[in-house]
Amino acid sequence: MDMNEVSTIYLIRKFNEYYTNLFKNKNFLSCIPPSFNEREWGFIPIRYKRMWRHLSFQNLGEMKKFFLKNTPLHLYYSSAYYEHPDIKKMSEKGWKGADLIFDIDMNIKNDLKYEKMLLLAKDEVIKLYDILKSDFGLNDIQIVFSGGRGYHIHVRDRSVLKLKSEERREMIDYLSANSLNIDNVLKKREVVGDYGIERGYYYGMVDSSWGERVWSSVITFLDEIRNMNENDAIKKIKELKIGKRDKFVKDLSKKDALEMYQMLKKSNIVELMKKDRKITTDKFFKNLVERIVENELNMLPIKNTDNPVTTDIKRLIRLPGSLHGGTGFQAKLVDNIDNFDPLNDAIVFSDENKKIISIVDTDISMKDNKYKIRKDENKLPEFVCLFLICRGLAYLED
Amino acid sequence: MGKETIDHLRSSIDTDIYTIYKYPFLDDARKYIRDSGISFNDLLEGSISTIVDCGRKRVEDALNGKIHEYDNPYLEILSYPVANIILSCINDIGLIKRYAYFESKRVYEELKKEENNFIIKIAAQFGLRLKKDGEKYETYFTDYLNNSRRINDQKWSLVNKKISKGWISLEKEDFVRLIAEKYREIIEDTLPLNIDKEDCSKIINRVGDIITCLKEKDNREKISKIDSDCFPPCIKGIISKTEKGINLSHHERFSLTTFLHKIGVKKDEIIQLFRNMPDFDFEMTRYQVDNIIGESSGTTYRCPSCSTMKTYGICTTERNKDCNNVSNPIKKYKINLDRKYKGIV
Ligand code: SF4
Repeated sequence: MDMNEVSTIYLIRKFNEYYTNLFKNKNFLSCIPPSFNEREWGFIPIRYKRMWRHLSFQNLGEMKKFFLKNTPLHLYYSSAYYEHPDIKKMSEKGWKGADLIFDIDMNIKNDLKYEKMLLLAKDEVIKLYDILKSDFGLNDIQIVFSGGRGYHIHVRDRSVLKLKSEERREMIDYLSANSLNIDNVLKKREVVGDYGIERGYYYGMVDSSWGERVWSSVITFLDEIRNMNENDAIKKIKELKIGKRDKFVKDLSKKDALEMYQMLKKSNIVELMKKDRKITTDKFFKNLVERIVENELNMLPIKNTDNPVTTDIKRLIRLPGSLHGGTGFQAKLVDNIDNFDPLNDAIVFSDENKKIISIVDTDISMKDNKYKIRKDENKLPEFVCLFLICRGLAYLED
Repeated sequence: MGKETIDHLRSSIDTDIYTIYKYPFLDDARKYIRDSGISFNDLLEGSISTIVDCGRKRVEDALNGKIHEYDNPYLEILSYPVANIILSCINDIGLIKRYAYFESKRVYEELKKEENNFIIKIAAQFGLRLKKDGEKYETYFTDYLNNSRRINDQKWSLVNKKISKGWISLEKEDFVRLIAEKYREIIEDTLPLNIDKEDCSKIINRVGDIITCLKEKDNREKISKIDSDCFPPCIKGIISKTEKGINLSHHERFSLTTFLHKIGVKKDEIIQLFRNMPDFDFEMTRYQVDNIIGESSGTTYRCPSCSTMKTYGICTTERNKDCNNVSNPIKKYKINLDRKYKGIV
C-alpha cells in the first residue's frame, strides 16, 4: 500500500524529531562506527523510496546536518573502510578492510509469532557471541538489535578487518557447522570381546573444537539425567526414543528406561567418559549416545545467519541508533543481551493515544501489552500507530 | 664473470649454504646471491651457462609436472632468480601458477624433515604467527584461513580443527604445509617481475623450446558440440580459471562437473578441462568425476541452485535479474541458447 500524504508527513515529522534528539544525545557517539569518515554512507529517504548511496562525511556535524535535512527511513553505512568512500565505482573505492558482520535474521521461520522469533534470535546471538569469544578470542564486538527480525553483530577486532570474503565464509561454515555429522565429531567403532562384553561399541572424543563441544554436552546431558529423580529421568530417557536394540523406537518400556537410569546412577560410566574421553559400551548405551550427539548437533551450531551479509565485504549495514523504517523501532545497541527485550527497549515513540485506520485485524504485543487491532478505526498509542504505518498496515485519516 | 669466480665462490662458501640451498627465497639465500658478486646482467646474458641451465630446468620441471631435483647447492641458489626472470619473460599466468605449485610442493617435502628451530625461523620470515606448545604448533586463525584456503581437503576445514582463543593447534606436518602455501602465494604475487623487453629477448632465445611446449599444452581439446558461449557467468568464470591454471575449490569443481554432465558433455571431456590444474592427477580426477556424475556411486548429483552458488561465492552476477531470475545455472544456459538460436529475447 502506498502511504497517503497525511501519514507520510506525520512519519517525516516523527522521524525528524527523533533524529534531532538523537544527534543531541551524548550516547549517540557510541553508535557512530570508528573511522566513520572512511565509510560509505547510504539512506532511503521517506518520500522517494530509493537507495541513495556513496555518501561520505568528513565530520559529524556535516553528517547530522545532512540527515536532518533528508530524513532517512533507513540509514546505513558500509562495514568497509575505503580510501575514497564517495566514489561510485566499487572497484575504485580502494577497499582497506571491513568489520566482520553477522546477521541473525529469523525470516525463515515465518510461521512463528514475532515475539517468539525474537526470543529464538536472541538465543542464537548469545551462542554466537560466546563462540566468537571462546574459540576465536575476538574482542570489540557490538550486538545490535536490527529493528526488524533479528540482530546484527559487528566485530571490529583488528585481526579480522582484512579477512577476505572466502575467509569469512570459512568462519560462517565453522559457526554453523553445516558440514558436520556424527562421524566428524565422534570416533566410533565396533569391538568384539572387549571389556567383557560380547560385542561392544567404542566411542572417543574427536580432537577438534566441535568434537570437544559435543563430547562435553553429552556428558552434561548424562549428568542431568543422573541427578533427576526416577520419574523425571524415565520421562527424559523415553523422550529420546531410543531402544535397547533398535536405534529408534516409538515407545521405550518403562522397565528399560529404568534400567538405563540405574546404570547411569550406579556405574562410573560418566566419570570414565570425563576422564578418558573414550568409552566402550553396549548397544543400548550406544543408541543413547548417538541420539544425544544427533540432538546436540542440531542445537549447538549457530542457526539463521544470513550468510551473504558476512561474506560480502562491501555491504551497507544499518546504523545503530537509527530507526528501522519497516517497524519504527530503533536499531538498538545492546548492552546486556541477557536482559534485553526488543519489544520494550527498542521502542522510542510516545504512548499518547492517536486515531488510526487499520486495514487488517491483528494482535500485537509491545511494551508488555497486547493490542487488539480491528479493521478500520482504532485508538492506539503513538508507538503502535507508527509501527502499523511503517508496516503498511494502517494510515491516518485525510 | 668466468668459471674461476665460481670456483672461488665454492671455496669461500660458508657452511650455512647446506641448510639454505633448498630454500633460495630465504633472506640468507638472497644475501648469498648478493655476496656472490654475480649481477643481474650476468644472469641475463647467460654468460654463466650452468646457472641459466639450472634455472631453466626449474621451469621445465614445473611445466612437466615434476618436483625439481637438486643439482648442487650454489647452482640451486643462483638459479632461483634466473627461473624468476625466465618466468617473467614468458609471462604466462598458467605457467607461473604451475611453477608456484611445484615449488611449494618441493618446499613442503623438505620442510617436513627440518628441525623445529629452522621452521620457526622460516615462519617468522613469512609473517606466519606461531606458538610452540610441546609437539604442537599453534597458529593464529587468520593466518590459517589465509594460507589454507586453496587446500581442497575436508581435514583442513576450520570446522574440523581445534581452535581456542583464536589459536589453532596443528601437527608439524600441517604447519609446514601452511608455510609452503604462503610461499606459493608469494611467488604468484611477485611474478611476473617487470623486466625490460630488450633484456627479455636475450633470455627468451635460450628458452624457446619451453614456449613451444607450452603452446602445445594450450591447444588441448576444447569442449566440442556444446556452445560454451552460452554458458552462464558463473560457469564461464570457473572455466576461465581452469584455463588460467588456477586451482578450483571443491565447490567449483563440483558445480562445473554437474553442470557439464547435465548438458551432455562426455566424461573424458570433463576430465580434460581439469588437466590444466596445477595439481592435476588423472586418477584422482577421474575418481572424483565418476563420483559426482554417479558412475561409481549410483547417485547423480544435480547442478547446485543459484542460491547455493551464491553462498559458495561462485555466482558472479550482482543481481538475479542479470540472469533472468533463474533458479539454476542450467536454466540460464537454456535461455541463452534460445536467445542465440531461436532469436527469442
Ligand atoms: S544467477 Fe545463477 S546462473 Fe547466473 S551467475 Fe549466478 S549462479 Fe550462475
